[in-house]
Amino acid sequence: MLQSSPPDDLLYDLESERRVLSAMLHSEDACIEAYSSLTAADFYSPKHATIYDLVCSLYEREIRPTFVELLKEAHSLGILNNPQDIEDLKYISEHYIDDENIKYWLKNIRDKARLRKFELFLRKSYQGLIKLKEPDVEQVLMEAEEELTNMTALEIDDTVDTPGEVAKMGYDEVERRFTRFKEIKELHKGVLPLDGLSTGFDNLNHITLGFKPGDLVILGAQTGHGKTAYALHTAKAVAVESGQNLLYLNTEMSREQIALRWGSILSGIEHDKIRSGDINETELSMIFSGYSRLRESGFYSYPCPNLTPEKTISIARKFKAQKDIDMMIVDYVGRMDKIDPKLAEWQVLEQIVKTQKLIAQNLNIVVMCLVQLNADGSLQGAKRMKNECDLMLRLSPISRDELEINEELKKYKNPNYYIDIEKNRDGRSGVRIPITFDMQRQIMKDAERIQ
Amino acid sequence: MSFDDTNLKKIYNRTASVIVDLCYNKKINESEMYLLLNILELIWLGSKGDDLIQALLEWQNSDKESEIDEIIKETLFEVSFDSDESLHEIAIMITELLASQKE
Repeated sequence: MLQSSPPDDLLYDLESERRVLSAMLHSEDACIEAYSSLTAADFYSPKHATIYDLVCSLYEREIRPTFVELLKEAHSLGILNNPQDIEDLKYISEHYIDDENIKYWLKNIRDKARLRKFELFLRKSYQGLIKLKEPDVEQVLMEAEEELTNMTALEIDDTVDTPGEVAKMGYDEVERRFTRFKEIKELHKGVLPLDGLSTGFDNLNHITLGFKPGDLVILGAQTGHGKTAYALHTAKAVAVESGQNLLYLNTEMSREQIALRWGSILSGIEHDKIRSGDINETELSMIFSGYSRLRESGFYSYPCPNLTPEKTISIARKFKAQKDIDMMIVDYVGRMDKIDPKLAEWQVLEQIVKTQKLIAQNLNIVVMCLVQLNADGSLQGAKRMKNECDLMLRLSPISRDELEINEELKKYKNPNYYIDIEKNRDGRSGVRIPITFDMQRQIMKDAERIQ
Repeated sequence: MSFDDTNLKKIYNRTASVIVDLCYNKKINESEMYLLLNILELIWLGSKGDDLIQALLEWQNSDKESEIDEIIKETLFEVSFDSDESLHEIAIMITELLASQKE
């Protein structure tokens, strides 16, 4: 008979809980780590779960979760305010651990939480068993096995879709597309509405239906051929024109350089003129009005010369928690610090791209990585990158010879660059979109068709 | 964490707890508690409000004169501790009040 209970310390570890909470009160890195790997339900102590929720709530509101802020927050909510609670909070705050050890203590908490689930499963199964009069043994064992498999083989976030769930998901998706198709015909007069974030180009929007959450987009271009301009053009479409939140990580440029580029992009005034200050009063007013639009936008810039793949994870999690970003642009991956100096270039790129795909999927955001093409237009580790990404684009100049002989291009006004869609998981690929790139004004647009 | 850091941390924790306890025991009111906690946080984080802390130290060492003390206290309740500007303004005000007291 299942009567005795397991020893207390088998099912919970209050020391680990206190140490993790304390680390969250002292270090932002620990806070990011705990925020993204635990839930309040993982804590055994209800008081610890409440403190965890309070700290996370402060962190989400960009308030540094110190001991004092925690006391103020708890007091304002009318909780944890008797002398014993204050004493417990003080005790927790003094349990500081070094950041390097946080993963160990987090694992302890998660493991104990899983053990408690297992114990509950055993108890529930036993209770169920003794209540059954004529048990269908096969059914009982199958159900138990399924529950146990979910507990052991799968990560916390993973779920198994049952046949019913897959069927429902499929039907809902078809129904959504059916309704959308009707809308296109009736309301939008044949123009496809976007499924995700705007790409900033009508033709690219038409083919991709926008960048979708969970997508990894790779854009390749040779050096000096508009990688940053493309990134900021995308940022303009997403953060300025659509008001979505976007994080821009730049490994090369200073804060001032990024800020100055926006001056050209949003005012349409040549970048050289802005850089030298050779502008008149009217232009100054146009630039000011451009920056006013930027002020109201969802563009967050993070210049980061020593970017590593690990750091992108931590930064992306922080901005997802605090700014609820919809997209992150990494400009550019070749400038990221190597994870292991012994690895070959293609291996490093493969690892970086895999990390970015995981970020996109786990945070349900779009991640765009800019990569540098070789002088011959090829891409190091291209095949492996292509495997990982959902959309692979290439930005390349149109040669004069091609402009002269290509009849199709003659139907456009001033096309000078192509966006090649090399891979598109959700639609057509192998398509070339002619665009006009005004390098001086840092502006890109679909090449206009001659009427 | 060095020995000094650990001690500082303990002082910070205990001071904060004492402030909340004082409020719980009705020795100070809620506004006073929030004000003291905010000042403690300002000193602990050390990233802003240097001139206000300086002015508060000056106030602490000055001759106590009830009317000016009350004015300073009431003004401190109005400070927005998130705003550098507000912290700077109040620092100037306290310094001026203390100077007028000396005259």
